[in-house]
Amino acid sequence: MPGLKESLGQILAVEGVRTVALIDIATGMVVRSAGAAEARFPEAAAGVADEVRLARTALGPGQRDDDLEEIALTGTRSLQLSKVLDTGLGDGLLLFVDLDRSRSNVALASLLVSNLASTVLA
Amino acid sequence: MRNDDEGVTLVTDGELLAQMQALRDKVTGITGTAVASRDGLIITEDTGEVDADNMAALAATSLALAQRIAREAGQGTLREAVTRSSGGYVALYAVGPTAVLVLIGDEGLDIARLHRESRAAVDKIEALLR
Amino acid sequence: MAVPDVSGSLREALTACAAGGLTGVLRVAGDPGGVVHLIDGGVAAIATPGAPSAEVILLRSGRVSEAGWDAAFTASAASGTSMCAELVASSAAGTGELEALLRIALADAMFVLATGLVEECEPRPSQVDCLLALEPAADFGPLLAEAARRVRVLGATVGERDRFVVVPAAKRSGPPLSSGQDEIVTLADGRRTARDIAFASGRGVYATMLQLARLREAGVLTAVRSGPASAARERAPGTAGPAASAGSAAGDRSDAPGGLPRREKGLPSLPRRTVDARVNVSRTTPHRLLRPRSGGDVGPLGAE
Repeated sequence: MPGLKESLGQILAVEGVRTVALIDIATGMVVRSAGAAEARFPEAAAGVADEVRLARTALGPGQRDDDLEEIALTGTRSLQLSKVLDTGLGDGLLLFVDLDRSRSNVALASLLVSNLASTVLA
Repeated sequence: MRNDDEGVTLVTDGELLAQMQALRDKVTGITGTAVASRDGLIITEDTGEVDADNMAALAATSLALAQRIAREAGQGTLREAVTRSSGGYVALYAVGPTAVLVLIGDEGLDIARLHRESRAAVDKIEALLR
Repeated sequence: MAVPDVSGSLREALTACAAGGLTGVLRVAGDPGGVVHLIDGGVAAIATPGAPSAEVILLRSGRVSEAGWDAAFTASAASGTSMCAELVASSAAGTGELEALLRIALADAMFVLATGLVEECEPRPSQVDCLLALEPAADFGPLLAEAARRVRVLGATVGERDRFVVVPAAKRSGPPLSSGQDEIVTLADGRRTARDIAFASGRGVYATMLQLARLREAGVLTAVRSGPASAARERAPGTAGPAASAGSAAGDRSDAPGGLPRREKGLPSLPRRTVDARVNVSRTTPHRLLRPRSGGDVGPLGAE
């Protein structure tokens, strides 16, 4: 049975992807990750989850038909995508991808990641 | 100290409630407790949202039935009657011949701990009711 | 201040089990204590009264219906396939989604187990006997590291045995609540602990504690002292109820016999909770107390 390791591994195979992780929004924990492992990544992941929580508040928690889908942080050298995977359980999961802009066509990469996102929870 | 409408003096028995509260704090997963008379009336309750009056009536009847089942099966004295459901547990204990202890717990009820603590709790409550 | 190693004796036991490639269980006696299910030395599941299992989360959240669960259970028992496989096969959940949930529930259970009172750990080889097992099983190291991270995040803000009530609306400030927070506020009745709320809402204990801390910060909830009777009554050591004393040395756990074991969070001591003396449990839990008087005519209790 294909698990998270395999599906995250497929995303890691996209040109330019350095790190990919599945993050639990409610707790900020890294559920599974693949790619470059940094010691401080768990702390950083919790920070990403906090960003999503704050962004949701900014969108307005009352309007359930305007749900946060994605946050993209663009730096001069990297692109960080945080894609919300709605599970109907708790606050949902986050697919976090860190891309090296110098190594990839960022637009293409984020399209491929989006396509693969739906396979992660399947 | 409060008086109900019928003029019966209700004696605040902080100790009884304290015992029930102590049990709830000791055993993880207990969400409500009650002590009822064998004829189905509430003596003391801390059941939260669960209707204590209904529970008291049902508990008295259930305990009586459970004791009869134990007798029928020739299995000695009933120790505990437990109803286990998808959303939790209700455990009943005879407190002497005159009362019932009702413990309501969620799915995470620490059953092992409950077994260790219930006997002492029942004894203490029985002493308070004498 | 250095964060203390979260539960040394549990770590030692898990290390030994991993080294020995144990398949079976590690029984943890303590409070809440629990059972760690191991496969080849890895952690496949943890059962503890202190945290909702994956099953409870699936059912309480409504993600899987009771009928769906029962059907998968029956099929699994009949065919010998795993419960996980049956849930996926019946489209009750996706493979990745289920794995994510098992890992999340596992981390929550380890957090509660490792930061509670650990008295004794007893390994026992046996057949694998848990309903929803993570396979391949997880290494214990990252699980304990995650538990330590949570202790750092929480600090001295909230404990899983704390109880909260809603502050009257007039006093609230801050942004409107999310639906998840709404549910927690509804459940905060002064009787339920953070752990109880977690079970009732089908969420993790740590996730619930975070929300409670935020809600308290926002002035929506306030902590109450557990137990009946007046807030002014001091509880003697050895009886139930949170001690009002401010924190002690990092890593110190109060093991008063019969008393509530208290988990110190490893940060400089802060008062663990503020007790609003005006809020007492009797407001939320009407007690009706009647001592049967021998020979007396005790009529049925009147309505409240």
